[in-house]
Amino acid sequence: MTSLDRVRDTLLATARTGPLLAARDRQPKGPDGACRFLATHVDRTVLARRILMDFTDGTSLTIEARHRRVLRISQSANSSQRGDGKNTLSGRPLRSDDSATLAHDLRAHLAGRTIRRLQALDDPAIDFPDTPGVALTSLMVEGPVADIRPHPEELVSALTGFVDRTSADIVAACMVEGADTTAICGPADIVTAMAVWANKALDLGHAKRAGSSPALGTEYVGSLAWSDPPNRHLLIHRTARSAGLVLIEGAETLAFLSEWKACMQR
Amino acid sequence: MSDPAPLASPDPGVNRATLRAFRSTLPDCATVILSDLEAGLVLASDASFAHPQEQLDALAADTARALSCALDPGVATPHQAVLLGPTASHLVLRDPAIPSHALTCICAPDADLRSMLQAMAGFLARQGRRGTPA
Repeated sequence: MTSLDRVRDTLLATARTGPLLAARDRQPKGPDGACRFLATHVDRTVLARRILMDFTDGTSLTIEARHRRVLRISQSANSSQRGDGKNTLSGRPLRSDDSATLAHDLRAHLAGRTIRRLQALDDPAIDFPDTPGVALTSLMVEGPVADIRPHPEELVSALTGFVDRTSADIVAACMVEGADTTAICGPADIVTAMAVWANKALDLGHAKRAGSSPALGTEYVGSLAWSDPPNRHLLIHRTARSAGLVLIEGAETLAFLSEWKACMQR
Repeated sequence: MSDPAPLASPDPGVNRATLRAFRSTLPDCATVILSDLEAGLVLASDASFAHPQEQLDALAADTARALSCALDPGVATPHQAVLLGPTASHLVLRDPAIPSHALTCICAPDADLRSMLQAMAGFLARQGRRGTPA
């Protein structure tokens, strides 16, 4: 046995013993404290690890992580489980497009629970799934940013309402959800260009990319402004899975942005 | 053998000290970044707390993606982006003197956006004049 093996065994043994968490760690502040605690732990996990999270109510979560992403999560048998295959805590490999649902499921699962013990296991016998997994960065943001509302029909309704009421000159408007684009008005080529840009730039279908500012979150409003042609603005409403876009012409971008925000975030 | 093409060089007039002096005039601004849109590089930054480099890189990439919007063939890309999140606002302004560079300010959600944008435009204009040979 080499000295490196001894060090490794010692570390593994310590990990298996699972030091009890300090009281301040077990009861993180705020309703989303446990979510942020878990997200931070995963964000510090680069090599493949199985993280066992025990709660004071006797339930537990088993989280497999690598490269700062969660690969798979399973609940203990005594946890209340949703029976359908969409449950992201059912032990199935996770993909990037599970991000919003996973955030929602984790928030629901961790709400009100107190963490009793956290163990990180590195056992060669563990067969980690070959999947890119999901970053939990969105869980580190205050508030329910991963909520999948508004539903597409609500977004289309809000967009149509804005187009009908605003004093700005509307060039084009659409709702984009992955490969699906719902045109509200405007030339088809402009609508297509807006949809192509939104899918590329706004990373629709994913929670906020790891590393980006968590303060901006998954849902936000915004505007782009052009100086050529002058007074052209693209108003943006990004949600967890879709985006509403309106291209307008008018002089006062911040005034239109306020009107847009009030309309879309009602 | 010919020399390799030079990498995008930062604006010699803007460095962390310059950005810190600028940020000190904006009480609502937590982070200011000068980035190269084409190279996706952070050229200089200053913040009220230490961002991990990967977060700065991701912010620079976000800025580049936002300002890449070309809706008509042959028409310029945007010069300004304003993104309003639940706990912060991101303001991005393309440098008129060096269009491949952009200045990003991350500020409080209730910051005065108009004043911020005016201050950013003024900063870039001053830097542009400073960089112009006499």
